[in-house]
Amino acid sequence: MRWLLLFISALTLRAQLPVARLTTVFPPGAAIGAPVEVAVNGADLDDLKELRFSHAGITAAQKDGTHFTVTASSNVPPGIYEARVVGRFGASNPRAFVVGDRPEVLNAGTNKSFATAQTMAVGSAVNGKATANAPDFFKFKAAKGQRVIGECLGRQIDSRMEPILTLFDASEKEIAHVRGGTILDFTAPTDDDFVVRVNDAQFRGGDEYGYHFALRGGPWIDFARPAAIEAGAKASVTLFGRNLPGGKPSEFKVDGKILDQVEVEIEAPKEPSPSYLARKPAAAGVDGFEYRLASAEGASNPILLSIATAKVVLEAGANEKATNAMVVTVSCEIQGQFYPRNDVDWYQFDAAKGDVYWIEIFSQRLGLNTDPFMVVQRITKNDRGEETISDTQEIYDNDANAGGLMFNTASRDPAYRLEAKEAGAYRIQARDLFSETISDPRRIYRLSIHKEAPDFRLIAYAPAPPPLNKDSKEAQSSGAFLRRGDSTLIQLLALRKDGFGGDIEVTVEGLPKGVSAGTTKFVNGANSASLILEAAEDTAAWSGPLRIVGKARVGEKDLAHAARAGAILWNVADYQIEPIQSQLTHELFLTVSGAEVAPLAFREEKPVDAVSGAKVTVPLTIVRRGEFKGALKFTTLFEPKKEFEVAAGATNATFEIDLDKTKLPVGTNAVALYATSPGRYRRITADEAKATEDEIKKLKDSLAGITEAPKKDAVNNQVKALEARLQYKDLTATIYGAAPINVTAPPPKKAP
Amino acid sequence: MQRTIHPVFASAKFFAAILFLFSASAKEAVFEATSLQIETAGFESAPGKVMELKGAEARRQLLITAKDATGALRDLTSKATIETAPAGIVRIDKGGLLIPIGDGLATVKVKAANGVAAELAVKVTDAKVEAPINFGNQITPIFTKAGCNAGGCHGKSSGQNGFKLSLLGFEPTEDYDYLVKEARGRRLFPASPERSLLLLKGTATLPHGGGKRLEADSDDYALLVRWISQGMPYGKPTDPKVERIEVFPKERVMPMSGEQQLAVLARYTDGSVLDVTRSALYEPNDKNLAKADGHGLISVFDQPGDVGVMIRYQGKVAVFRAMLPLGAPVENLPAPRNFIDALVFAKLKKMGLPPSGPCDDATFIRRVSLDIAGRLPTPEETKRFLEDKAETKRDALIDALLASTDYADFFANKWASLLRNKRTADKDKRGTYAFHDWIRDGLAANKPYDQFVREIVAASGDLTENPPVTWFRQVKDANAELEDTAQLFLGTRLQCAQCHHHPYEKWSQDDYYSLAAVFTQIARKPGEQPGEEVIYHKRGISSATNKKTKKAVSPAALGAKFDALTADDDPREALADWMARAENPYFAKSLANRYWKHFFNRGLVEPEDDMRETNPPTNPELLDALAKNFVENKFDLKQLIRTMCQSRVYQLSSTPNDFNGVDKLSYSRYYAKRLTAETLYDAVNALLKSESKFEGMPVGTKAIQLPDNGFNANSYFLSVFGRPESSSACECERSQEASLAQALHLLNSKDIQDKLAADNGRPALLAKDKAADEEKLRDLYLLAFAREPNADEIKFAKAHIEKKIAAAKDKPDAGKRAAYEDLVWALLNTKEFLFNH
Repeated sequence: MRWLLLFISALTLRAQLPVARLTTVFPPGAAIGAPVEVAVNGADLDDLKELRFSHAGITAAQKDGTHFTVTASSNVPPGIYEARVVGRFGASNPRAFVVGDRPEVLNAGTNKSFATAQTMAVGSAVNGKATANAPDFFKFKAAKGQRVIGECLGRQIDSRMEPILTLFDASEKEIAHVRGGTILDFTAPTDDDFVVRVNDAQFRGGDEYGYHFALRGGPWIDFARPAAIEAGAKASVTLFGRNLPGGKPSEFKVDGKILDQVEVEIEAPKEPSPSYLARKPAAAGVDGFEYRLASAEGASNPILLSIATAKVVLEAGANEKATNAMVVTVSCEIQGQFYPRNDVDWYQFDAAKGDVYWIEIFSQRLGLNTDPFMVVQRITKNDRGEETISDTQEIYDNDANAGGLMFNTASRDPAYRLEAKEAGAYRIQARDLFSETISDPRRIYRLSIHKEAPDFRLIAYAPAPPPLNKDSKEAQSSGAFLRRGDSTLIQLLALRKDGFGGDIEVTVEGLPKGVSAGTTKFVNGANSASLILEAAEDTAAWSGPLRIVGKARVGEKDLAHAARAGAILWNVADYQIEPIQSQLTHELFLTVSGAEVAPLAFREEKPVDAVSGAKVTVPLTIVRRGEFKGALKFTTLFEPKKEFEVAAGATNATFEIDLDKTKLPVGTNAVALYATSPGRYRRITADEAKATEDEIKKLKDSLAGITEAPKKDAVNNQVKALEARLQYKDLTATIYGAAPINVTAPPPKKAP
Repeated sequence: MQRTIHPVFASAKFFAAILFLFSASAKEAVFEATSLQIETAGFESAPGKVMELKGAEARRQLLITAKDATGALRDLTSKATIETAPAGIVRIDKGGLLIPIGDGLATVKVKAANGVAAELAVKVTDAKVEAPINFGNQITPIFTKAGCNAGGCHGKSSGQNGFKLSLLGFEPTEDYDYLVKEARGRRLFPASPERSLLLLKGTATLPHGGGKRLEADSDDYALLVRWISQGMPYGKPTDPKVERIEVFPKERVMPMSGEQQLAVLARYTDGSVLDVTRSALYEPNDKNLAKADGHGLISVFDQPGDVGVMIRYQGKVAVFRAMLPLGAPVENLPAPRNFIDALVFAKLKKMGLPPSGPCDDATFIRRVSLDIAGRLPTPEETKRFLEDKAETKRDALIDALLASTDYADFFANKWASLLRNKRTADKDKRGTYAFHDWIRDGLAANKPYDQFVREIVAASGDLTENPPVTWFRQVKDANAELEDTAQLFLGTRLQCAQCHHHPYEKWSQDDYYSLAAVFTQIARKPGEQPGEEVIYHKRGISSATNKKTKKAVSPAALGAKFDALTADDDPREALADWMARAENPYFAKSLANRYWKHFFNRGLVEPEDDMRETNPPTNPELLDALAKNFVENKFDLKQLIRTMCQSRVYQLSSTPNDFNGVDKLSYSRYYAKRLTAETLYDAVNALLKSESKFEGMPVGTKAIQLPDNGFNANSYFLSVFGRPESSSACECERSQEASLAQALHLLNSKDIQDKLAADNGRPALLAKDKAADEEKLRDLYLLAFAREPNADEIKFAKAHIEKKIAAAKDKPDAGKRAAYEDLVWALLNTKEFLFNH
């Protein structure tokens, strides 16, 4: 007998109620040990009380509403961290914050011409924001032969700025020009002053165009070989770069400059850690960690190293022709380069009959602008020993996109499952479709050829409510925020590796008392799932990072991986004009309001059992706590989308699923629904409203005793301001509630 | 404000030069024939030699050529007296066409006015034997000659008034069907051929939109009648086809206002020949120099130069080149600085065109600054240069300008337009700005041209990292890609060959689609931002389908095959390799010609991107040498410019001498040119001390620094002076035409008047400046013209200042300011300012 068990946990609905959103943190950086005053900007940042960073060593003392004094203690390694504000409407989405080991100053803002260039020292950084149509100029002294590396971070630190650096000598002659801000490598021909102009590539500017411009002495790493080390292992790694202590000239050139090389020993951690160097969603499929080379002049730039999937082999020898293919023994991971221009690399290996290998390139996901491509060929020999080559497969992008338009997890890195039906030799061609005219040794790749080992990685992010207008092309950033008695959705995405099709169970660690997580599972090979978090009505105020863990069993092996956090960077009005920038973050934060109660909620009356083919009816109780008395329009988050409405003032509803029509896959499904409703809302609690009313009364009473007109006006203004706080605002469309419905399919019916 | 130009400005000596007030008075020596020669195409008369004509169609165009004591030749075909004897064997019409009328032996006697004579013996056989008519060989050319199948008439793809012919007769089988079979055969009437609709319309007996195209007493008419009366045969598949045509003579030195009869011979696949002088089409490449009639008679005008006449017949082409020397004495030429001088001076000697003298330093610094850096020299630069006594100072100036970013800005502006860096929506900006920046970077770093082109044509990736992929946004499909590549980098226009054989060139549709096949494996996927695409080569064997034959063709370059390409090979790479080969016949020449035009104001081939056999260069040796030099210098663009600008030819004065005022293509002087829209805009701002304000760009951004076309719409100045919209790969998109609107804009537009009257503008500052007026005028002239004012100019200007002060009565400051406004306004409206000379 087929059976279904269906139950509904708390269903809550939320209007497009305020949720804190952070757009800028300025300055976007600080030097270790040097307190800096930081201003934050965004939406719904009422009653901010905290600026939190993804490293505990970075602390912020609040100066006033949106200003904080930030200090990075000496135990914070230089790097890019996350800042988020916490206020009345929760913890915001994050913004990048640079912690440096060199002095940092602010852009004076008066340096809009060559003549008025702001002086800065080599070995320092400037935090600025671009002004539209008015580049910034910085002057520095350099000694003859001194090598200076200029680096301007823009998009890397959540800014809209796409920097261009132009270097001039003292006579205003242009001597270097760098698109993209990374990197201006300059050796002074004489002792002299030099000037750098910093501007956005389109001369845009404003608060959202912050930048962090550093003039670095000390080492700069361009790339490492190998770029991956097995977990927990130590390996000798050759770093290629500039100003490397003890470095020797290498065989590689970038923009005409010979790179140095130096050998170092690096120990890979057992667990990966998040990095700001590869933040596209697909990079969640890479286990990596950051590495910096220390020097007397401060640490180098960070580079991303990976945890290797198999034994590491370096690309070696001339392997640009099929006939010269480099022979490797699998499983292995080849560390190669798409270099020089239009490089084609060939590898060859033997497979035993029945072996199943996964062949995968990691390159774009390492943060590089490459487009790796593979051809897999089979070599067969006839009785006379003559070889025949046949293409087995051409492999382009990995189009698997778990997150749709909002959180696209597709990547240009190809992956292929090779099943060796016969024992024999195979060849792989690897090339970068983008380097046809580009000769750059930094275009590295990892080519993993390993026995099939199904696995997964997860991404979790807090989506903004779906837009009210179905034709809308908007996207919004958001944080995870629960009012008391509220529920919210955490979107989970699974990157399935090596064809893994099994279920993934999700648990949430670190939830505060009063907050519970619905049961969530990726079933039947699904790559997205909805996690509902619910706060009880008496939950105390809380804010902190969540740890969401996915667990699965593959054969005899238990796998568990913590989800990488994600966020949408900017609100986008029309994604056909501006791209949705979804990216990986260090942490996923949840905030529970200890004060505000969700104005509206709904809940199932009792758990429901259902059988296959049945129309399942779920009775709902609607809780109307606030000023939301209108009709409710429900929409399911699973396909086919189902919508239904209940009338204004209703406190009950019935939700019906036709299990025949619903395309839920066999197995246990976690599905959700949300609703919209018109209503009105004010930004303070009932208690605060009462106190405000009292205050107004008091002020009004005091008016009788005031005779001077200016004082009277002042009190009247105070009253007006307080009355404004009491005002309700119509939320023309109220949206977003969610609930998981766990639908579990039984094993197939046995033959009688 | 109404301003008038004082005669002092208008009468500057310079105007005399640029207005070409001089006119050359060529004094041709009297030609005295000492001998006469009768030729026909491929046959020269000689005692005892008999020319044989067989069959009714075996006519020949006679060429009667006189020679004088110096060996010079003159065509007397239309001037000599011609007699034939005995009667009844041949007749000769007015244009010198010899037509057989009866079998036998005849003598043609010709005599020049001074009595010099010659004879030709002709033997005619089968004079009454009419060979079967071949439609493609004989009938189709009639339509081409009469213009029936031209693109504007029945040759356009939709035909004309229901009657269609293949364009220029490239598809005779289709024409045959249209004529004979279509419309139930109503167009031809074998029972009474003269009553055929075709002939009634063609002779305009019945109303015909195209008018009269055929005379009822013409040979063509008779042939059509004969063809219809023969039952409209198509001919046999084995009938010979035209293999090539030849023109006689191929080149000639002609006196100005002279004539030259041409004869054209078609050679067929079976070895037979036919005189097609009357059926071929003639078109001079410079209509200011020559005209041609339908019978192959070329008349040249009263102007020295070189002219090519393209001859077309049945899709085959030939070219006749004439040199029209002035014949003046050319003496005391300066010692050549480089090969450019040697080759130009050699040509001038041949032409009898004495060059102007060298330009002075003031002219040179202004000229070369405008040509290399797109800007006026500053007064300080000019003063320094004029005071510099070093002999090498001109070379040093060229080097300094080439090393400046102004050079990169100016040429990036030129290339961005040709590379269609077009903004059609705001979201295109990211790409257009990046592409412009990339072009500028490459020019500043002097990236070898072959590499520059490779990085565009074979670009892959996304525009953030590799901006030249932006090229593929405007150049959207394989056809556009091949056409732009051919026009921009190979100087060849292939557009025609998409639908039919190129009418003026050897390129067939197979050639077109072979080049298209280079681009057919280009694939696109969404880029980082909406509206952006990444470009890559999709693995596979490239091919394209010939639209006509529906057959697949493999990738090939223009007239060259690639080595076998595998699925892994991007043919764009092979194309780039082929282009960069030293022996490539198009690549280096095309760039050399393009840049030559930039500096010398006239391409060795015009238009600069329409280089073909039938459009020969005015100095082929020079074009070859420039290309060779460019290749030898590893496609070094700055070196090419250096070579051009260092030449004595570039440094000639633009002021004509007694002879070379009429010269427009032998480079006997520097040809003055109007400043481009952007250069003029910047020059006006420099003169008026006005800062540009382009929306979205830093204040003071110069017009030559603008990254794309997106600023034209809001700048009347730039649009009225013809800044291109980057819509095509053609230099012709930049309009250098003068217009009334331009003149009015400079004379009395609010834009210019506001700048003149601005408190921080040049006139106001000059008025305020306590220095002596004479000193200030000196600086002003240095800025505007890179020269000091002469005594008259100072005298007039000072008088004007005093007059204005006096007129302002108690407001002398206002009077002085008004005077300076007038003076600056007058300077900017002079041709000396508006032109690079």
